Amino acid sequence: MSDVLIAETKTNDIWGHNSLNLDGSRVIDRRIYVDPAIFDAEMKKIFARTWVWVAHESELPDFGDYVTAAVAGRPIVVSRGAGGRITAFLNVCTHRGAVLAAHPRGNSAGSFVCFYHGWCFDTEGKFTNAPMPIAYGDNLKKACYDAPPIRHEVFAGNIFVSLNPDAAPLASFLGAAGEYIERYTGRHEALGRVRWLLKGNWKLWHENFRDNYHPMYTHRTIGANYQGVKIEGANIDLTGGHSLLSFPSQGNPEPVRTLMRHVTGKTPELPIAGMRRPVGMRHNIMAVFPNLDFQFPSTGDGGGFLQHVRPLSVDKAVVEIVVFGEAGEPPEARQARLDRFLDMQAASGKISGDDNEAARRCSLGFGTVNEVRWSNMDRGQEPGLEGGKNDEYSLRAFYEAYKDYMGDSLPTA
Amino acid sequence: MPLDIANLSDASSAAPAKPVDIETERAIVALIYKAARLADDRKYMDWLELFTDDGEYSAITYENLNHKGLRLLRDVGKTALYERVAYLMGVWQVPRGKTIHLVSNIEVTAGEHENAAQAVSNFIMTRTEDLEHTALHAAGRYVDRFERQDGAWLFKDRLVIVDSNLLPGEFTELL
Repeated sequence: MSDVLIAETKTNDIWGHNSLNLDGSRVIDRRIYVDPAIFDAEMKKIFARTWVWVAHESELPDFGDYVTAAVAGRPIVVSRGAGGRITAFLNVCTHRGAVLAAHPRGNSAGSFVCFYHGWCFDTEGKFTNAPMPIAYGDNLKKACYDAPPIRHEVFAGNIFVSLNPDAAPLASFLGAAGEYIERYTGRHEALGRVRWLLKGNWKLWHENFRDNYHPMYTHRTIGANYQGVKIEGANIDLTGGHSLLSFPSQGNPEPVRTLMRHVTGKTPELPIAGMRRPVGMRHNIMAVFPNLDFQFPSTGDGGGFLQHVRPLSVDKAVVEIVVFGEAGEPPEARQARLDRFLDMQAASGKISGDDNEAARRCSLGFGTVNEVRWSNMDRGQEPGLEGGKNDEYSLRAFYEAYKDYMGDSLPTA
Repeated sequence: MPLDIANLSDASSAAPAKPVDIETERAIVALIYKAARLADDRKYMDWLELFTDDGEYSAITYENLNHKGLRLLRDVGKTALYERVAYLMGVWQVPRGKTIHLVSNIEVTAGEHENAAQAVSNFIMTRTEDLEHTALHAAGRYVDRFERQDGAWLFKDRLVIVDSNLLPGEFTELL
């Protein structure tokens, strides 16, 4: 698109000068997916400043249990200590720098002992002892050798950490999203995690869960399922960078059967597994800035999942899904959840498989960023915070917060 | 009776020591190899016919096998297996890679009756994408149970235990 077509800047938005003749709040500068300098700024200005989900309390039920995580490149330990107290600290031995906990999860038995020289730290990361300390004289008392604590808060069982001592309290940060997190995970326990490598920028995955325009085209069963259906549902900006998509389960399996007959040459029997949905069920997909999303149905089914995406580099990320069941649910319901909940999700999922492919194809397409720089994010023209299911209020909510955090680290148009 | 994965933290426990006769062993090993070849040749509808009508195909990471048992997938019965095949044949828009399954260390043992058998084996799977070099895609263990119907051995269930703790972004191929 020629520069001649660039409209006058409609707002002071840094993306206001674009070749799509749109307000800056309705476009995305594709350089944010490919520029290593922007990626480095995201780590400093977003992931080191905001709240980041790291674990669920149910993953650390006993004294000494721990999980490890990484936030903005820092290895972190989340640990349960005496009295059930949960703490978070940098996963590093203050002696020579080895990580104290080398596994994704485990039990410290009350003491993290560095494997390198045997320095010991308690369940809160406080330095307790070093082998043969007499050789140090009194010098070990002249400095603090505790593994630095990390600010953390627990909300409805979810453990968030922040590297920013000045970050707003977690409940304030979560805002309107907090009510849904309480509803989704307040009575739940984590049943397991699965993670996979995303061949694309981390934002592509997070965007995907704010975008309900794509499913009818990316996922062929959903497209078939919606044939002839008047689509209902809402796409809501919850403010603060968070958002909610809420829509009823709609459609019928017949076009899906036709699709399957088309690809296999054989007509499937009913019911097709992907089409078994309780009547009256609503899908709720809530995205929490910057890298977290929750999906829980409304039927009181008792289960759901969250996903968080951890950036590795400008073009690679790790996506991790954590599946939840309601605490105390009947064994049959629990077993069914363990057996089939991931059927649609994760790198092997009947839905997510195509979502991974979407990220891969976009990443390939971004090789044209110098020629085709702007993405359209304009769906939904009604003012306010809410539009139809296929609109992009949720996506715009993310980028409004994104630009606030990034400030002058984003290049101008 | 479904496979009790809660008691399968070491998959070798699925393989009691009772041996089978050489003819049965040959037939079972041939069936395992045939499943690998049909998957690699993308003859998915033929792969489907290697299972009993109530046959099961499921997968789990080793990490979750030893945790609470969260599976990646579990297809029970021909309709569910057919649905997976339909996804492989074009419902998924993910390009299918060229795969090679290598199956080894096969131990076949007797089942609960003369028309039942079971086996554990190790597998390595490579995948080659368009314009890409061949890559190791998956490795792990098959825990299989078989049933003989009308003289032919079929999969009663196959559990695929995947070793990886970080799956490839595209993991929709038959394992």
